[in-house]
Amino acid sequence: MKRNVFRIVLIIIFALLLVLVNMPYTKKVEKMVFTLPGLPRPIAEVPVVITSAGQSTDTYIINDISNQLMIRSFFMPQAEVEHMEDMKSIVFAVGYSSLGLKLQGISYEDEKTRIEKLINMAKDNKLTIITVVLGGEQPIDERNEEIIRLVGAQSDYIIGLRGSSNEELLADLAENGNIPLTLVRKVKDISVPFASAFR
Amino acid sequence: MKIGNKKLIILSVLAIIIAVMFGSLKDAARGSYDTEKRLIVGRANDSVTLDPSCTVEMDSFKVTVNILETLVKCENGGNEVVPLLAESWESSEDGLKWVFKLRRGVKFHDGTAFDADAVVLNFNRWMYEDNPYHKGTFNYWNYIFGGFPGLVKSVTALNNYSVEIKLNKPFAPFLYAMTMPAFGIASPEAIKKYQGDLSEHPVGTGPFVYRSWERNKSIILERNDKYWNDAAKVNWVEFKVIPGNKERLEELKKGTIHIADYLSPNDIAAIKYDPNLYLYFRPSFNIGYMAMNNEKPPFDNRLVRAAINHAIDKDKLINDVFDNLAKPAATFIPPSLWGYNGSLEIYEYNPEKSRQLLAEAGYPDGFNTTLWVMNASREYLPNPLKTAQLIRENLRKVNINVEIVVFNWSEYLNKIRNGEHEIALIGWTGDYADPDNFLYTMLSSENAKPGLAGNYSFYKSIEVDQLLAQARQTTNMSFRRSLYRRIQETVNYDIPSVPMVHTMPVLAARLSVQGYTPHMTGIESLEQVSLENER
Repeated sequence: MKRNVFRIVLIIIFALLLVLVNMPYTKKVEKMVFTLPGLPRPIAEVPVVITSAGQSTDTYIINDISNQLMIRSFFMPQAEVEHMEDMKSIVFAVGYSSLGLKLQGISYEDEKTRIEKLINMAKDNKLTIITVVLGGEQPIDERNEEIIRLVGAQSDYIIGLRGSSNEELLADLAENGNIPLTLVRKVKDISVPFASAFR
Repeated sequence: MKIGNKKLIILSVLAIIIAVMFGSLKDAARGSYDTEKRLIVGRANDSVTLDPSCTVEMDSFKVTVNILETLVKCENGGNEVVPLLAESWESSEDGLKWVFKLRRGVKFHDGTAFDADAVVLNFNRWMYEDNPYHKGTFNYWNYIFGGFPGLVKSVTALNNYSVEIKLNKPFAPFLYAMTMPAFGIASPEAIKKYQGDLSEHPVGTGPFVYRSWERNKSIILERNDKYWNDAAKVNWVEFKVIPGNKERLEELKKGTIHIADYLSPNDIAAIKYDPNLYLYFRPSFNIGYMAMNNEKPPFDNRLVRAAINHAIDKDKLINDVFDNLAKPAATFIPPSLWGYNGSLEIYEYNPEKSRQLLAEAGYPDGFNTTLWVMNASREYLPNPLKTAQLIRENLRKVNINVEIVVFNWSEYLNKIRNGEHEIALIGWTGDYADPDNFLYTMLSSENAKPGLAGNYSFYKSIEVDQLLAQARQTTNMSFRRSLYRRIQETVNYDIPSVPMVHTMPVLAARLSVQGYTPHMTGIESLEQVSLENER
């Protein structure tokens, strides 16, 4: 009896081994996120307001890029709804900075409220919303993620950095919202997708 | 019982060994396929030549960039200049003198050493028309340096591993120019052996060695196991010509090729939802245009050219032919490039205005002409014939009767380079991110010389020539930007041709292809590409 059990166990092990050894190659192919190098057709019109979402200094980089491309823009890191008259588009440079908020003398909740109002106004008036996220490799913090989700999900176009800690989050937002996504290798490469949104 | 168990154990161990061996053998069998690791790139066109210095043609560069290396190159997927055969470089303050320190220990595929003398010999071959090895057209040298020797005064070996290049005038994009595949360094022994005719004998220092070329079928390269840098990840690369877009996509789906280029925008959905394929877009860094030969009447008349610009319905063209995956062009540089003049208006589609202009030009009843088109896709024209047919329809509405004439690509290039065309569909994909690469090539008088032309409109403007020259000689970016904006304004008025579209070229690869990054120039070396097994 014992021998039979032993035999059965051996046969099962042998069968399992055969299956395992001959299984199709299962090495995981690295996940590929569908991205565009830029937009095939422009989606945004000028004038555009460049504002911050989180008060990091990344907004200044986007403003420089916009100026170099000679895109008619207004730089207002703390833009409010009343500043948006005659504007056709809005660019959110997303990045949470506790220091930035402190320097501006506003709380995180105030910042979120300001962003929400701007988004609502943009949606009501059919303004194009572009989200640019420059965050690096440092782990994404809760507040940053919250702001990215808040703005990103409402965007018409998202631009981010390949290899940054928020890459997966941006990919998910883009996929779920069917939003075009461009991931660039370096900050200075943003000018190509940024220009593609306007011309 | 003990004996029975022992037997059983021995049998089991044997069975396990056999199973493992069987698996290993299977892996080995798969391995032999893998060790072949042949990356097959399906493409619409064959190369015209494998001597990069004698062409401006992208399908030639796509191959040669894997065989011959330049002194410097643009980083993979980016636009920063990084070392290649030169480890470092410096220039004088006035930009007239450049010294390149060369990499040591590099060998050409024929086993000869790469050194400063090799660089000097290559430059001399390119730049002096009376050099015994100057056999061919050397178009790119002419495009970039404006003649033979043009802007380059001298090239001298300072020692075995230093080369000094002196220029007659400052040339702002000089370092970028040195990244171009056209200036890949060939083996001096090969140059001498083949008497300067390297079209089928490319011998460089690159990651792949040329093995064979069956015209209009395939080109095969083998990994260079003695490469100075990390060896390529595949053993072989085959560039296989499959002219039809549909056929190319079908082969990709079947897995008989790994990468397919120049696909039709209409195929995007089929690629995107195929679980075995990955869809790529190249950045929009090109211009597709309709070149009117300004030296031939009636295209020597600005009013006629303006009339034709008003007759083309670019929006319909983009919708019907490009599946909305292109932008209408206002000028001859892509909108993402610095120096682009965003204030320019696109000539509106207005057949009535077009007819008025034709009448004003003395052609109230229109005229007959020929529209030339190439027989296979280009990055800027994925469906050339369909594009030509739509243009013919547009022009018929303003009483211009068009006969479409189709040529194969190499014959086409030769003919339009000689200025034999009246109207021809053509385009340009940038080699580097500088407006000079687009505007000097397509609009300077220097590049309107029959046989060497890149200015297929044969447009000649003293004002534009002066501005182009000025923009080359200053390194002040703001000033350069303003000069290029002025050039575009002048050209927009003169309107030598019809700037049509900036496309976002579509390509696809099987999921097994890893490490492939399409470059905006349309040209990328493939040593970083690997093939993983598919699930």
